[in-house]
Amino acid sequence: MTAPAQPIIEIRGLRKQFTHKPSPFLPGQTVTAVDRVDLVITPGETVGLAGESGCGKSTLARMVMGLTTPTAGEILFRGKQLDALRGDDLTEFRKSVQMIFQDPFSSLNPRMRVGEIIAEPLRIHRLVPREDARETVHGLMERVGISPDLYDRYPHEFSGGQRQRIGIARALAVSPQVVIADEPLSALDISIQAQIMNLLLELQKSLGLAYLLISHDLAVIRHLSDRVAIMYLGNIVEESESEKIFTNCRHPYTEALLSAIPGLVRTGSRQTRRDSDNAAPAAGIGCRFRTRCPYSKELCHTTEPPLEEKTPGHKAACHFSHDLYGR
Amino acid sequence: MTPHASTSIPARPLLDIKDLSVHYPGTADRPFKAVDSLSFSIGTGETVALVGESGCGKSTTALAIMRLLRKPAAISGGEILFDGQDLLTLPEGEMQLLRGGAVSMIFQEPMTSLNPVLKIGFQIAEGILRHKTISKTAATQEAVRLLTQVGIPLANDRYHAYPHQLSGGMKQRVMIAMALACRPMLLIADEPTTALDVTIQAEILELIDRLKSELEMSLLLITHNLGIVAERADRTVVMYGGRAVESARTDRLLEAPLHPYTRGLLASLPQNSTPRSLLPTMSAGGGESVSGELGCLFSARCPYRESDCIAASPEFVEAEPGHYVACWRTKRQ
Repeated sequence: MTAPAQPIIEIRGLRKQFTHKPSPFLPGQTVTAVDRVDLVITPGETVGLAGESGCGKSTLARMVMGLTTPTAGEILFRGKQLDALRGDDLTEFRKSVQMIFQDPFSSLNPRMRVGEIIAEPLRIHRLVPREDARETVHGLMERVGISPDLYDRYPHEFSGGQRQRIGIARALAVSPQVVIADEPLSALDISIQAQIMNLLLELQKSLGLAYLLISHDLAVIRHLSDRVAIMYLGNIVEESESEKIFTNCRHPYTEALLSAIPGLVRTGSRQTRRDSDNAAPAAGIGCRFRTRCPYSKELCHTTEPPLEEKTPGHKAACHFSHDLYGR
Repeated sequence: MTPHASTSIPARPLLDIKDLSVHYPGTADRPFKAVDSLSFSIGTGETVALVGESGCGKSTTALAIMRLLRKPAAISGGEILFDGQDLLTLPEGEMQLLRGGAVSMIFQEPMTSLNPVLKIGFQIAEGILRHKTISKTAATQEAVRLLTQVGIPLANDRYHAYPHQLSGGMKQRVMIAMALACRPMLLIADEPTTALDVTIQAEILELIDRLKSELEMSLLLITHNLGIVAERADRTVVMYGGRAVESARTDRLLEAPLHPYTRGLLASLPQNSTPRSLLPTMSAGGGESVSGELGCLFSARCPYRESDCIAASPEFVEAEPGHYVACWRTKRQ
């Protein structure tokens, strides 16, 4: 990346722990969903976040949205702490950061007309006078490729892809700068996925949006992202410019993920993970990927590898990154 | 395993579907055809993939083979020959013996396909007891052996686990163990990995492939993931709107697709474009859509549409040896 622009969102040392108390007579168990995450989102870029289910991707997104309170660490919105925002600053934050959800069937109110769904954020933030709202919504609908004639229809009258477009229009209504997209494509057919990906790219170009894109589909991540962070058990284990992750990864977990993607070209052997039933080792002692890592050594059991820059702009949390993937 | 080695056509296919049609009552005069004159076959030990977008009739076909279609869906024509026997004329009692016996199915969602109030081991043993004359103890032992075979550690303890105590990947393994309990000749896997992570997906597919060669099973793989198709299937049938539009050996289909729909699908994959470029997409349709009786169903979205496409439905013809396509354009050339 060139000259470091002022970030819109900066995450520092973020952690979220959930306490699970199976019974009032037992001590609670603490699960660390996100731990020591640093991430920066600058205007106009797409940051892809990939990892298996349960790795903390969605928890991270919810914290950035301000929907979940972090246990430790801080989130800065244009340099100001998120939990200290009050009044106009908070309203400004809520307008600037919007979200697109995974399931276009459950994220739209079935009893509202789609026009009203898209107009609701405008109403809440009092952005346009009531009499102009309809016109603004028409513009938004056109922008996402839905005919404004369908203003008075209900969500059930639309297909999955069209509903996802409506969700996008709703997010765009308040002219956000950051859009958090949590698995925006995984409920859609291949041909529709391509259309929505194109829409996201076009909107980014014309509106200068920044995306935090969460997906388990690495092909989607690769296609849309400028930078990619790979998460494993709550930690970012590798972060770099998108193409470097896919052509020259520096962490064994990323390697395993990439080798698991079924390609269109038949490949020979593949490194499958070992017994998936191995309990993940506790945080704090050693590398958490060691039980699944084909290269783990003595050091991995005793010392936790920090996420550090291995080559310029390419961070990885692995002791043997240089030995395995070169300098 | 080299899937492509076994593509020579065997004397009699294990499963031979001829002109299968499944209808839902639509409007009074015109029923909705979920599956329309579909024909394909699967040889012994062969993997055939059925691909297409949601609603194209893939799962309906699978359910029709198992004869598990629920009303108001009804099979309105055709034959499903399994090992020479027409499943559609089989009495329900015999069909029950076949289900879970010689023909088995893995469903898409392992979360909802297991009974939440029964131990997983019992759910496997139940099927074995149904199909084999065998003591309860032996069935239990067999269930434990199957759990081990599908890669579940500590199978003796896990026998007593309930579905909610297992992860998604583990539940899918249990489903596979259940499906394989009676050594089926044909396994139907309907989106077996859609709900799973890529790493687990790779494991499950690897497992199915290994067991398939161990048991000399045939596999009908239903998926919308073309990557999986490329890796696992010997032959592929592409469905659109309830009809087969193209069928060929998988490598040929991916190398030289003939039907505009197949081409459009492959072109719209991000893997085939440079990152951050706009993907070629198929038109969403619109315009006049063709009625069920006449014309090519894809014509509304097809970039090569001509007048004959709307006038009559193209036949499914052999364009090159083993490569079938239903498109007027192929015929024109």
